[in-house]
Amino acid sequence: MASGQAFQVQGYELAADRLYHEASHFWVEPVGPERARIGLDPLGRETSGDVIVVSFEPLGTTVAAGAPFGHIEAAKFVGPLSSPVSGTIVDHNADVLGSPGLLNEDPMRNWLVELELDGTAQLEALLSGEQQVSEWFAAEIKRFRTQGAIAE
Amino acid sequence: MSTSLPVALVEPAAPRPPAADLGEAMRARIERFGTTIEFYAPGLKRWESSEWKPEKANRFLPVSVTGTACALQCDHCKTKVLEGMVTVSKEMDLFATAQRLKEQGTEGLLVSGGSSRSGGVPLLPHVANMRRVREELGMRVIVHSGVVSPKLAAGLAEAGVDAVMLDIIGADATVRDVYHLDLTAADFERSIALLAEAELRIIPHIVIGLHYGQLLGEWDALEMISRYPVSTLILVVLTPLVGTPMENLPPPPVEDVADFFGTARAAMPETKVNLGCGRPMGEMKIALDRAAIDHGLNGIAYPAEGMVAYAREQGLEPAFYEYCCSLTWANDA
Repeated sequence: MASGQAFQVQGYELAADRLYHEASHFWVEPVGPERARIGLDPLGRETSGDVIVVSFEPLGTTVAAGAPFGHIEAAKFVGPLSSPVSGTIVDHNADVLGSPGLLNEDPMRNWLVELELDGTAQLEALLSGEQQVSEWFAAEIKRFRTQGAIAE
Repeated sequence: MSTSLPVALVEPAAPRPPAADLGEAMRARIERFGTTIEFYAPGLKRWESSEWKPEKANRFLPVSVTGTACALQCDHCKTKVLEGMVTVSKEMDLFATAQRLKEQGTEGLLVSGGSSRSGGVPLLPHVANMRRVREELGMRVIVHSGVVSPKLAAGLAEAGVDAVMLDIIGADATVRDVYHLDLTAADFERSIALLAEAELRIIPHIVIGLHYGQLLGEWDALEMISRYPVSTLILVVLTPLVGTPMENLPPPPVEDVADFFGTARAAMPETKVNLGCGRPMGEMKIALDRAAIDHGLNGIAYPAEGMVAYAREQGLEPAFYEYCCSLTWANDA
């Protein structure tokens, strides 16, 4: 369950206090004036399958938007975790590193890394607000079902 | 999570002779097959490494004729493997599903599904559409059959499927305990025989460590398979899946698996032997993939990080294919 105000889209629970990156299915949660945490949204998690192994780039690493901040091995996805925003990694979620299965249980609660952002203007490109996010998410559910990436 | 697995009821497998030494395995492999090592990345999952990023992830996709339903509920899978497959339904049959996927760029299908209580995937109602998918859409069709009946073998031959894949189990205890089937290993051999009689291209799989992480019937399965004209042998390694009774079991030790790679290579020197996509992740995957290269296997699906470079260091020339590692005959097409 998400920590902020939750809403559902076709059974998937999302948080209203997050911003969502369309292409990567990561959420971004501002946690300070220039800081944000990044996590997988429920479709990102489901289309990845059960997560087995997660690793992150070292603290202090600068990542550009689209560049990897880590790596994941899951039942249906093995590859880089590409950052939805640019910044410097200032924290890892040690719980997730130790128990990647936490992501299978609740991807909205279990963040991955925290970034010191390269400015907050980049957040404006992300989706926000229940209506905008719901419309996008519903379309994504349909798309993934058509592709067979999630059960119909 | 607590489990009551019947592993203690089974005698440990008798030690087998060690495989040929690595130098000999590599020499024999290069002599018979040349220096090419084949890497595969079908669309069964999204995958990329720093060494290889496939261009078209949906080139080859799995479909399930039963959705996520399976009567067996085996301890290994509990339908988890079906969750990533495209569902064939009454509303959208196999042909319509294939049409839809072809429009998205898919070129081949693995037609799979859950098993019936008799141990077979209910493919018979779909064989007519398999033929249509091949002939009208020009797509490759390979199937996961499970245990085969004479009628199914005939139907698949009539449909002209490109190949038939099936797991071969060599121990009665594994058939009973893991698969919950009232069958024996002999029924799996009968399946290969039926497919061979029907002159179908056979791609047997051996799941190493299927008996709750132990090697038990693997050598007998290998012996069984070696008696028939199979296209490619696929070795996969037990992956304790989340949400199954095996999730907390350790996978089989790398050394045992590696030794079996060598045994399989030596037992089937004229047949391509590939390491398939099912195997544990993380550090173990790296160790397994290195062992597969060292023991002269022909190909690897979803190679671990560094394996392309490692293969080159061993004098091998990597080739890359964005489809299932069972389709080795298609590489020259």
